[in-house]
Amino acid sequence: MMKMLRSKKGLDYAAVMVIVVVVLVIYLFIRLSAKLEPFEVRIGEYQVALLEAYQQGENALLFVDQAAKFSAYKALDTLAQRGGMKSDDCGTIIEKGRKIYAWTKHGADCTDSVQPYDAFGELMNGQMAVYLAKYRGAILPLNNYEIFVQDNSVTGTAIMPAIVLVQPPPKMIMAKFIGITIPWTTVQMPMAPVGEYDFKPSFTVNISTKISAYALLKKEVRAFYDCVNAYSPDECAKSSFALLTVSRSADNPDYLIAAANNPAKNPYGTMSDIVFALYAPQ
Amino acid sequence: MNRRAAMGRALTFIASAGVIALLLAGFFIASSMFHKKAEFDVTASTTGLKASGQLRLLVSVLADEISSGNYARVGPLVSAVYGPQADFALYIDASLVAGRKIGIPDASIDALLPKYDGSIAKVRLEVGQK
Repeated sequence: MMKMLRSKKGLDYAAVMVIVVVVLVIYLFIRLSAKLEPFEVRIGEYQVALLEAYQQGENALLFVDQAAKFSAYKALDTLAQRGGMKSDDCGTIIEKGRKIYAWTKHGADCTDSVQPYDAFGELMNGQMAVYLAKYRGAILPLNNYEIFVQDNSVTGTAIMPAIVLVQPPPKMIMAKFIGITIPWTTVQMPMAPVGEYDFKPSFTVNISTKISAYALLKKEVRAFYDCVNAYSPDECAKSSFALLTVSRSADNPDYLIAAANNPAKNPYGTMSDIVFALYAPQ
Repeated sequence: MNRRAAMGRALTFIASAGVIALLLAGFFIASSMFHKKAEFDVTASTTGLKASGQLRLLVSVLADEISSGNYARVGPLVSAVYGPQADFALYIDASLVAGRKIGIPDASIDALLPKYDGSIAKVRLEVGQK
């Protein structure tokens, strides 16, 4: 009996209990950490992302309006340099290092190709594309407008819609080791877009285009060629033109260079005179 | 029974129980420390959206002047919309060009504006109280 009482064999039990509790507690902590994930999605996150997508759409429309205004003036300037022509059906001549579109050439009358409204639409789309390609925050399609021009306004109707992605904010997550979240290791995880917001980026800009002036110039040119049937070109040049100033080309003596003041004015830069060439050999 | 041995076993038992209790307490403290609290945070409010709309209108009205580098009308327009106590800061490509730095603005807008030369300017307009 005394031998049993003096035996220390049972004392190992307490130490073993402690070790077992330590192991169990660690295991329990890992399992609980894995199970009790906090609620990581903020309430209203997707709805706020949709509202912000709408705001980005409004920002894109602001950009389009301003780009349209600048593009219209640049298109008018280029149109004047091309003499209002949509294409170079009658070719071009070089006068003092400058390319000038011809309205007529030997054996051909291209005044029907003087389509300033169509030409302006193409030029306007081209100028808009330069700006829209640089925009960030929305996908703005290029060469996307049907342009309607009046003397005092330009309207661009969008064919394809612009797109803004509905993007929730990035998720902030902490690194984990064996299921245990490690603090001070926060990383930003970008979220995939959850949808799209589409809108048509049409515009109207109120500018004075005065494109109707090209029709008056065409009338004068037709009157000039009617006169040339009976008189010499240089004599007709003195009497046929009220709006146009005509002079014989120095580099191409068979051509007359016709120029008219551009009635459209550019508040942001220069506006070229309307210039074109007429075939009228002496 | 050997009294000293019995005392020793009792003390060992008490010490073991104490260690176990400390371990359990430490476990619960660690659990509460390392578990991330759930956050409930709506990051936008209708007041903020309305303020952005007003600012966008301001930037739209002043787009020509901002694009050409003339910022004289920004201050008077901000005062007309937000009152005489309103302060503003206008940044173009992250440089302060008009107004003065505001610590925490009441409303702000970031927008891209084209310039006539074909480049793009990043515009930020902040409005706060003096």
